[in-house]
Amino acid sequence: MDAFFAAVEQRENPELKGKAVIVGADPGGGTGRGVVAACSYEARRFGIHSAMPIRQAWRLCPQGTYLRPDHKLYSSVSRKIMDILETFTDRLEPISIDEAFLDFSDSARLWGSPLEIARKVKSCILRQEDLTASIGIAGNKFLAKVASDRCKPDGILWVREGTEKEFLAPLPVSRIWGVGEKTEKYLHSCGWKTVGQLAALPIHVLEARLGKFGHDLWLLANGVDHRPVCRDSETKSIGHELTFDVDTDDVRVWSVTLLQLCEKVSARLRHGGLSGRTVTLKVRLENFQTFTHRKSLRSGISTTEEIYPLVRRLLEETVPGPVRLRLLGVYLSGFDEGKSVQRSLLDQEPRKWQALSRAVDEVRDRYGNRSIRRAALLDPPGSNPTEPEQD
Amino acid sequence: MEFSVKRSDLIEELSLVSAIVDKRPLMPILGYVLLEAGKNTLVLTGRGKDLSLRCCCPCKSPFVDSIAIPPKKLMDIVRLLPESDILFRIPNESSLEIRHEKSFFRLSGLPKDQFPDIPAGDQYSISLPAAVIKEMIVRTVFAASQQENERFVLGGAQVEIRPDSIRMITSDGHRLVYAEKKYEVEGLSEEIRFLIPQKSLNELSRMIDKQDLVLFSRDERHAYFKVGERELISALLGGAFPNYELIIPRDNKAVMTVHSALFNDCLRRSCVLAEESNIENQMMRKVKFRLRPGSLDIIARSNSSGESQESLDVEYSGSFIETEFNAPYIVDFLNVVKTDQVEMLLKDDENPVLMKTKGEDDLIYQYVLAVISVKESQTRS
Repeated sequence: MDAFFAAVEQRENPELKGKAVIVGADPGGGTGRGVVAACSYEARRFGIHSAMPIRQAWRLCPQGTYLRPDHKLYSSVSRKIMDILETFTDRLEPISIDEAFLDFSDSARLWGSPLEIARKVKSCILRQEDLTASIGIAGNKFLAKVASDRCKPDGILWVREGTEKEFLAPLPVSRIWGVGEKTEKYLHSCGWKTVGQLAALPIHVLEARLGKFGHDLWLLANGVDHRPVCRDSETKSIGHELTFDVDTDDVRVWSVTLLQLCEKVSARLRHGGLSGRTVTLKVRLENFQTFTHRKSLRSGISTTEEIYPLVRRLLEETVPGPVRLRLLGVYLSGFDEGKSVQRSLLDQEPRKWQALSRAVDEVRDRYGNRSIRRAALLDPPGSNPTEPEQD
Repeated sequence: MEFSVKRSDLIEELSLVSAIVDKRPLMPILGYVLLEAGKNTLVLTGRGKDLSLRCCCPCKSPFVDSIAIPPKKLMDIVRLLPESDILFRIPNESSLEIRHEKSFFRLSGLPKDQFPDIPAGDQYSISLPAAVIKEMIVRTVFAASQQENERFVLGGAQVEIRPDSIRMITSDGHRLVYAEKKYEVEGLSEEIRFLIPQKSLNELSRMIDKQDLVLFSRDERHAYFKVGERELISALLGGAFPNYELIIPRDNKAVMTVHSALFNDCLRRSCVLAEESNIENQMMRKVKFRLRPGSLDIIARSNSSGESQESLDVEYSGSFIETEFNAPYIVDFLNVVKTDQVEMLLKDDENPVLMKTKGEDDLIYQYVLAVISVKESQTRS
């Protein structure tokens, strides 16, 4: 969808059409904290983009309309759009509130050529929801996503077979999935600025520098992506990771970060009604060396009280000496739902923690994530105010 | 001046002491054994992580002398000498000379003052029956958790000494053993309860030989056991052992009675083709029980290696129950059972079962075992 939150706001309030609409944190007259969640194309002309600090946006465009996000509204619109998409194919994979992959490889005969399908989808959304969408057509998910980004707003872009490399080559490396700010900086420091430059390297060069990630990066740079479009894929693991703003050797920062990650992971486990038997810790050192270390238990766990001590121990085992860490991640897997597991005799205490965690979940559902927090997470030492990203 | 010790005496005591000594000590001295030669006895003292052991063997020594030595080296030397009296000399505070006929060894050691102090048991006011203690340890310690990472208290055994009985309880979270022996403990008016590492109990059981009594005392942080001339000092574990009274099921009404040895054989055969999963370095082998009046079927099936079915005559008059267990857990219990028959008390296919020995009147011996069952997702209330 194009500028989804802002477009929905403009649709709800036609006076805003054609105006610079910025959805995000309270700008507080140029002193606000927080970031832009979305902005209309009119606002983008002022140089505003999503994830920009809100006070910077204010400086660029004080006359814009600043709105706080109405997530309830956006989700209900999102659901309607997904319903529309579902009438075209059941091979649908929503990836965020306003993006989804559709696989037409088996239903082309039913709907016609890719271009025709894309036009039908767009007109359906416009007719029923009065919103515009952009559609990328390609042989795999990665290319389709890049193509849709390149044809915004209200566009269709078809990357035809045989032209993939040509299409990707001039794009900046940051367009590749998984290349965040830090990796981008690193790649730039090696002199690689475009996808084409990465694609031209021998694969082992990237592997040597970035390991498995380098391997995947090279494939994507060459337009190769074998991931299938999978609907409601069964959850195999739940995890969160955080790249530090600055590589750190501060054990307190590590601890607080792990605790924060455990909180996020355990909350998601409980929301999904899951408990995991395998705890995995991911550690990336400043030189990009990445380790994962895991431990399997006999029965599943789902609370921070159970997960955190294990993760701490894994960290102690993985990182014996003083090093600078770039990233920490916590994952749970081994959900075993529907499988047979050895029952425990002593689930009284975990039950208490589960009850407590559920109560906390309910408070957060009602009053927001920051309404109730662990004391240890009130004032994290170090300079790390960002919330962990969802993986 | 030299002192002499009989080879077999030394080997016996040294093997006990060296068994508890830290194999990879933080400082070398913590891996050493202290030898103190007195007029009539040689005292050997070793120190492990949570326990210390002091043993004695007869020796003829003209005066008092001492040194700390690496126990394995001494053992290797003594073991390879022929049986006889072996002569020792401590020429200076950091070497021990060993002489036998034409053999001579000089073993480097460390001065006594570097060896850590070991707390001493002062007043042994309570005496316990040695054979009973040994039996209870063998019957319970197998169910203590072998996992270092597991909840700390589960690595130990709960011991309760009451004026009229002794209780020992262990659990690894999936099973629990409870043993209680009626015994009039002399001079005891109040119950004593403590949580002791399983390693200490294993050592205690090894120490008990032909002796009749185990002398016992404790202070805030240690338990002291004296068996003959051997003295074990164990650290006590902090924390609370789970409330076993709540875990032992009281309303399991369906009773199955089965021949212990036949049951054990069936289960061990079933293990061969059981579905295996290695969890926390422990091999789990899943078997299915189908229990109906008069018979128990034990079914094992592994996708990779095949399947087996056993049928066993049992006394049972309850309703049909089908449930699954980790077979080695039951085998562990049957291995230490001495009665011909055991009982299994069930409630349904998902609650823990209770196993008991049948016809063992002087020992209350109960084993609680959680079943294997299909995990359903937890629903948020």
